[in-house]
Amino acid sequence: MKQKRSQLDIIHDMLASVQRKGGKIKPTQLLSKSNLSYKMMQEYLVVLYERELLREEQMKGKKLYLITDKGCAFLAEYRRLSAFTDAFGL
Amino acid sequence: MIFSGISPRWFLGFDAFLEVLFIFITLIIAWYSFKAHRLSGKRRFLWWGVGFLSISAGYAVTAFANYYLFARIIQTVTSPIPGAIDFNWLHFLGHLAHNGFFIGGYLLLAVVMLRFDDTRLITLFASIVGLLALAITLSDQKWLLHLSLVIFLGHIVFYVWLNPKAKHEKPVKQMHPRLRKSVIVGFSLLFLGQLAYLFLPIAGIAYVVGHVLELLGFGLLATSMFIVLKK
Repeated sequence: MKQKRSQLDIIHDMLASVQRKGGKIKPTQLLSKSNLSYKMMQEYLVVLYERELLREEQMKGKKLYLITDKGCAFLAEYRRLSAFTDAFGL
Repeated sequence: MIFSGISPRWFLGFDAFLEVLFIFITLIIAWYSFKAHRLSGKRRFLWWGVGFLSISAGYAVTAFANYYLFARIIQTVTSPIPGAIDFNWLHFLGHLAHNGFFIGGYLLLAVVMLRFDDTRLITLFASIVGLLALAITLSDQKWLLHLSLVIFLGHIVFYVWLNPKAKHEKPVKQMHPRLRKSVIVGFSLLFLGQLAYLFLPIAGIAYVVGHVLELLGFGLLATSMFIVLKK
């Protein structure tokens, strides 16, 4: 059975889906890619803003989420952590 | 691993160099484990770091005691009698710390591998470690230390291999298989190294074989850590 995602995994999944879309993503796309309910996504967005991993911008009257440098650094660190965890079976 | 007395003469110096190298490798793994704990908040990373830090302290005690006792032996030869009492105490405390740090460190790694994450349980294990280290030091039965480490490392090797398969978080193919293999082989070599030390009463060369196996084992763990940090 698949294990429940941790907070760290969810933050990673959200940021990774933004990065895969070239660094910016529409709210509806983020909702479907991050596999969360609308309410949960809003809660996690607050966390991402607070940690300065993601920022919001208006482009041609439409809302977009953009990944920050700190967000990219987080993804790199997550990759290292994931490799460490897998390698040592932790 | 143990103070100079049982090392072949030609190997003296090499063992001290290897022990210093092992201190650095175990410290790097401990440092990254603490960083992983800070990032994820998961306590198993903290215990994993403490385990490696303890092993590092074990090697530090060994390297220091080897150097200090060697210096004292030379001093005692040139001016005998003074310092004989604290020489014995230092010898005893050095052995106690050496045994305690190694048993504690490897036991903690095995406990993390078995997925125990309870401070009360770890406190209980710590008291058993203290008692076992004291018993080994007082009885001077070195084989007990190495046998304990063989048992702990056997568990570690088995669960490093088993755990990612049992987690089912993502397909095994995606789980850095080469890194995993290198860590499994690394811990297996450490296991064989401790097994070699069990033959010390029969042949002194087991001391060299044990060190070489440990070098290869820690070398593979260091390479794996280097690849992780380069990602």
